[in-house]
Amino acid sequence: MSVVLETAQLSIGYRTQGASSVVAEGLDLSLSRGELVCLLGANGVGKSTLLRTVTGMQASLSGVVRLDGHPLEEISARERAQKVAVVLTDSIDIGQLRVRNLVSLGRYPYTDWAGRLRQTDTERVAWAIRAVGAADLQDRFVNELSDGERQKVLIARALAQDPTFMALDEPTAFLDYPHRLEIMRLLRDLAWNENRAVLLTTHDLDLAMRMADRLWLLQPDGQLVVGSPEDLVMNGRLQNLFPSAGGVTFDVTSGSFQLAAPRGLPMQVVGDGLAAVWAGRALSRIGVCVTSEQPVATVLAEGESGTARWTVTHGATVQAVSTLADLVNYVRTQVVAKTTRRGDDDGAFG
Amino acid sequence: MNARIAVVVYPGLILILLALFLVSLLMGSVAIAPADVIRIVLGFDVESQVSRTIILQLRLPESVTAVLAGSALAVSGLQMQALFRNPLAGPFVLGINAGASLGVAVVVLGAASGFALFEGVFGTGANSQGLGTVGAAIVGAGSIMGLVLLVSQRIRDNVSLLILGLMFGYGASALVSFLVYFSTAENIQSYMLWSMGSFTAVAPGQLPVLAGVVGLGLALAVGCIKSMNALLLGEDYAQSLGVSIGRSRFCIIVSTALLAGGVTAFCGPVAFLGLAVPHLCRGLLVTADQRVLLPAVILMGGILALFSDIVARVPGADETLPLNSVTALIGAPVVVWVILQRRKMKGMT
Repeated sequence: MSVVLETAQLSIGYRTQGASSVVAEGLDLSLSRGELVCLLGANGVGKSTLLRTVTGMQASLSGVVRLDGHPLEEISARERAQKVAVVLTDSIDIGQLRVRNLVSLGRYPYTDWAGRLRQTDTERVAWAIRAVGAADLQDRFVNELSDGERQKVLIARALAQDPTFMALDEPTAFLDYPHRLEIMRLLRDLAWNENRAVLLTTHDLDLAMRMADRLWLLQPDGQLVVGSPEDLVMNGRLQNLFPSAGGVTFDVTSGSFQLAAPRGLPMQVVGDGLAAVWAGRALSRIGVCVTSEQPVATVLAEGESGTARWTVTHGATVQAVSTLADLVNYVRTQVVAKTTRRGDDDGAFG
Repeated sequence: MNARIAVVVYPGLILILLALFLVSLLMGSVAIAPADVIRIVLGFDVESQVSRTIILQLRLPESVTAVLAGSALAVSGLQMQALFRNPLAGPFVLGINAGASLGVAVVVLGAASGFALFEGVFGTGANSQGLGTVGAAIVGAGSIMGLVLLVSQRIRDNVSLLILGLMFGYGASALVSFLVYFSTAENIQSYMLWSMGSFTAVAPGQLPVLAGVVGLGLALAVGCIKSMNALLLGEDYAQSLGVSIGRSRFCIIVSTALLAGGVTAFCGPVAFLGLAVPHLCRGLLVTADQRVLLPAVILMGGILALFSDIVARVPGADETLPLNSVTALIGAPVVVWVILQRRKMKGMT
């Protein structure tokens, strides 16, 4: 894999009136063709600053950024635009602008002074639109698109620049889960099949874990940790990424953040199939600890999706319910509330 | 769609422009036959020397001024709307015209109020017919634009910038009020006449100057047309496409200062044309491509200015209306229409 982007002792941050505020320093990074890298970090830690610095949109405080082996500041703006393309969070609210024209703007670094498109340019534009699967959108107006469609079109615009390095700032924000997956798959395909280097910032740890070749973790102290998602979980680096928010912990097995389980009331779920699985999920959601050890109550799950029913046995009382909403309601009002009150009195569960 | 623009829209606009141009030459208290008008304009001899003088010395300069001014203001509006990514931007909205007014007020009113320095630089006061007002208006417009841009480096939010532009405009107007307050009635009247706008004040000898200033502004506008397309996406995207933001901003501002400042100097602060024409053209051509819009904006600007001028001269009557009132009456409904269209667009998503 050939290295596209390299940094040496890079310091990023802002310089205002002589004083500079450093966001991160001493960064030695590299990005190669054919890999998808997700840049993760808590809010305000400087992900966008790093992205803007390595794409030449913002000056570094010190250190070097090399693009294809050449220092970024020695490359002309036009040449840089032929190698680096970005998708930003800036809103594109332009009336009367058709998708095809927006994508055509990506050919800016290749056209003459008047911006005339030659045949190679129009072919490239058509290819970019096809590559993101937006062929049916090309005559639509940009401000009529949905968020997911607009994101695809903006990626097509970046692709029309024919970059070796694509950088995207929060490309999956504001999208629902299926669309987030679609965009990530598209970006991975572009990295793998088109042999481009793709760097994106995201908050979506779950998606990054599933799709990224490597993660760049920007820590709150400005340190950057690099590695494959799995290695970073194994060596415990991922856990330190987000400053611990109240009651949220990182689950090493699932690789995702979870609400820390409070000392829940132990209850048992008996049965199999989806009815048992989702009864367990529903009980976990309201803070019940689903376990077979010393349960105070037992839920028997029976039947298939349409005909499922659950029977709660709690001491001498037995209650049958036909929806999980009823189950949750019953457990909260009858089991948890009463058991806790009794627990307060005797100091022990039933 | 491109074929439709090349075959229908552009030739159509050219024909309308030529027709209105002819109509404006035919209008006036002295009746001159259309055939004679065409012969005179094309440089052939006609029997009546009076007709020849009326056409060449009075009517032709006015019509040419209208076309130049309309085109210049419309292009300036297109540039401002692209640069600030704001559909309601225009030379007037951002205070350029107020700046030009201040410049002219300093020359016209200030001379009598004892501003000997300005008198020396820009020529004499109330009876100034030279380049004094042009220079002053360009300096005034350029200063306001420079201020707006200086501030725009610090704030990126367009709405704030627009408000600041308005504030600069108010500031300039306040200074004009001071000058008016300390000035003589004679000078005030000549300033007020200038501020109502008119295409008649340009003498045949001054026409080449106006044409030169507007031509330079238009040439600059053509020169930065490519970056204007990229600027539609916002500065960050434009920069990522290889646009030198500083250079294209500079180019656009100098161009707008020449176009709006030059026209304002010769014709007064002609309102609304700069704001309305780009929207009319976007509606007509259904495109945001500045390269396609620019020729249409130039033609449409000329058309609307000629039309306003013809209306202001009230065909068949001796009275003439203040040009500014006419352009505002035509321009305001266009702006209303644009806002309603935008709401419709939003509603569709």
